[in-house]
Amino acid sequence: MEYLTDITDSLNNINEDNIEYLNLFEYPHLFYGTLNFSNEKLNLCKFPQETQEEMVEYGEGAVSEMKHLNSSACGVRLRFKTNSSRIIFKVKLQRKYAYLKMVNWGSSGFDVYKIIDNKYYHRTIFAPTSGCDIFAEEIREEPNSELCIFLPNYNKIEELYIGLEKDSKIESVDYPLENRSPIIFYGNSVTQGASASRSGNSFVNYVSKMLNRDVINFSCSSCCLGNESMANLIGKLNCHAIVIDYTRNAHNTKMFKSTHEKFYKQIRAFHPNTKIVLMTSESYNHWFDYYDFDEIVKETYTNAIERGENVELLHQKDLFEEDEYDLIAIDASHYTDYGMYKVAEKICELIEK
Amino acid sequence: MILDLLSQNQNRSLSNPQVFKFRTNAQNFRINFKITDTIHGNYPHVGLSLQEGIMVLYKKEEDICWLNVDAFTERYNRQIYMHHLVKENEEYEVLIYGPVLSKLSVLKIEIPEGNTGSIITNDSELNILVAGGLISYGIGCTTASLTFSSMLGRKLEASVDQLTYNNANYLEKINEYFEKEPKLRKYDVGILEADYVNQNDEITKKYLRKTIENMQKYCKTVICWYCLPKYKSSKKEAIHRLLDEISSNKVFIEDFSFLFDKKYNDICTYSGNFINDSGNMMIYKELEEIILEKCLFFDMMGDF
Repeated sequence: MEYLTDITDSLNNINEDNIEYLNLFEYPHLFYGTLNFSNEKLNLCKFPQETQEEMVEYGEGAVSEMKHLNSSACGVRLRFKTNSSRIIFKVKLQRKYAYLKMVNWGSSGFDVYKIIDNKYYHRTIFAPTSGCDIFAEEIREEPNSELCIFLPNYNKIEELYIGLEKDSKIESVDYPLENRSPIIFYGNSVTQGASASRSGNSFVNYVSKMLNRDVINFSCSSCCLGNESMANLIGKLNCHAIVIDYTRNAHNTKMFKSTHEKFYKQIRAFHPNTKIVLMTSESYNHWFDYYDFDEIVKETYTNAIERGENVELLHQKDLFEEDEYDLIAIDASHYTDYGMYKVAEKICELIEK
Repeated sequence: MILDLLSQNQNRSLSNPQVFKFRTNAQNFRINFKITDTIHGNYPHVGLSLQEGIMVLYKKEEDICWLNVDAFTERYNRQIYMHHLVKENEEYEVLIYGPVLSKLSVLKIEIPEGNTGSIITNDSELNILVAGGLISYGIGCTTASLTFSSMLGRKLEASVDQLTYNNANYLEKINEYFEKEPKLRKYDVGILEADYVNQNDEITKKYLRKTIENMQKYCKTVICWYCLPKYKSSKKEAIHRLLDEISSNKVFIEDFSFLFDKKYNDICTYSGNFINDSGNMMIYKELEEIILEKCLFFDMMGDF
């Protein structure tokens, strides 16, 4: 990796002879997991202006997180193949410094996989160390390899260039026709991908890898509050299934009780037949209130079942033994990769059944 | 009430991260800590709290394991509110891990008046010495509670000393330490990371056997493990060639390279050289089984 002071700097350690750079923001069709349906330029923000402004009602924490993370690339993938035998990335990120409870390879990582026969093979991961935000990296793959790069879950990409050999071609790598309809996720910091060790290992991205299916991840730390504006947005999108991981950002039991089922029903009104997975809280230190939250989720689920709706319940605590609680999360709730994997495995099972 | 956790006269020179415990019934307490001598470097695969913070866990009487509270650095608020986790007047224990890439110069607990508070001293019956390189040191982990040695200490209620180095050619360093004939205590189990993907093969050849022999002087049993990707299989062969000559039934050689197999690779490793939190959990589970089924069993049965 080579650190730069300006993204236009020439590289000293990586040979740039015969390399031509493309501004990837001008190639939105190479990115999956965004709402870029017609824009000429890549826009990584997935939250409507209305939702962003609503955060004022929920306090400084939500406002600040939405401001800094509304354009994080969580769940976004760069999928392409090129006949160039050399691939160089030049990147400028918004955030320079490490998060308290995440490694940079997770929060700011570009997690590179090669796809062979619909299976994902991990190739490499790159991210800057804390204190650096502009860098270049070369990856080496066979020409015409199908690559899927999971982008930073907790950072905004401000500029992104790809350097390829002159006159080479680049094209998108689409999902199989039957897997193009995305699974939509709505959730909190855990769903956003904190604290997976690599960006490709959030449970959302695991689901995408396991099913080789497109996903859209509408998750933002502290901002998963069951807003009507988000229900309307999710409602308007065609999708294969919806996963609602709304629990822990609600401020208290009263607030959660008054918003959870309402939020589910708002989405259900748009999607009468779509499978919806309701997730209980990810809480692994016996936090009293989350037991009440889980009962509320179960009630929403039971009521939906009684109405004959296509709904599944994922009780997250059931996935782990109690004596594993200090091993599967880095704190009270944020999963390690093993925790992420187990959650993803269960989501896949529920969606595919 | 102030509990000065560094004031306890316990030999912590080989403890990294340092481990502290206290007992209280307070619904909130404050942790005041300062760190010095932070090691800076290229660490995109290390959590900030492991580098320069602390990790706090708690346990009530009925809990079957320690439970995570949160991680902190000097920059973040260190007031801990426990009212969502414990009932009023309920007594519980707190476990604090210090940083791995820094030193603690202050660690004091401020408990509001009217509550109980006492330091828990280390009286573990099981003593473990962990020797090794980057993996054993904790590089690749998010918090200090997630290194395999911390997990062993916590789950087995063991006292864990560490002779670990943030250096690819660590066997030479371990050997240098032993050459000084240190006055170490006796350990029930020694755990040695036999080799590392980027360790110079000559270093391994020169020092691996010697290191095991040195560890045997202090440890009743030694587990010698390695975790190497397939492209380094020549290293595995070299380890076995070197260790075949050790004729002791108190040395167990264990291969944890399955972490690089397809089933675990994506969950447990970064990109060939490093093991993440989940990889450490897998190593801990393997080691725990070996300690309980082989080392302690052997200890119990003696040399019959």
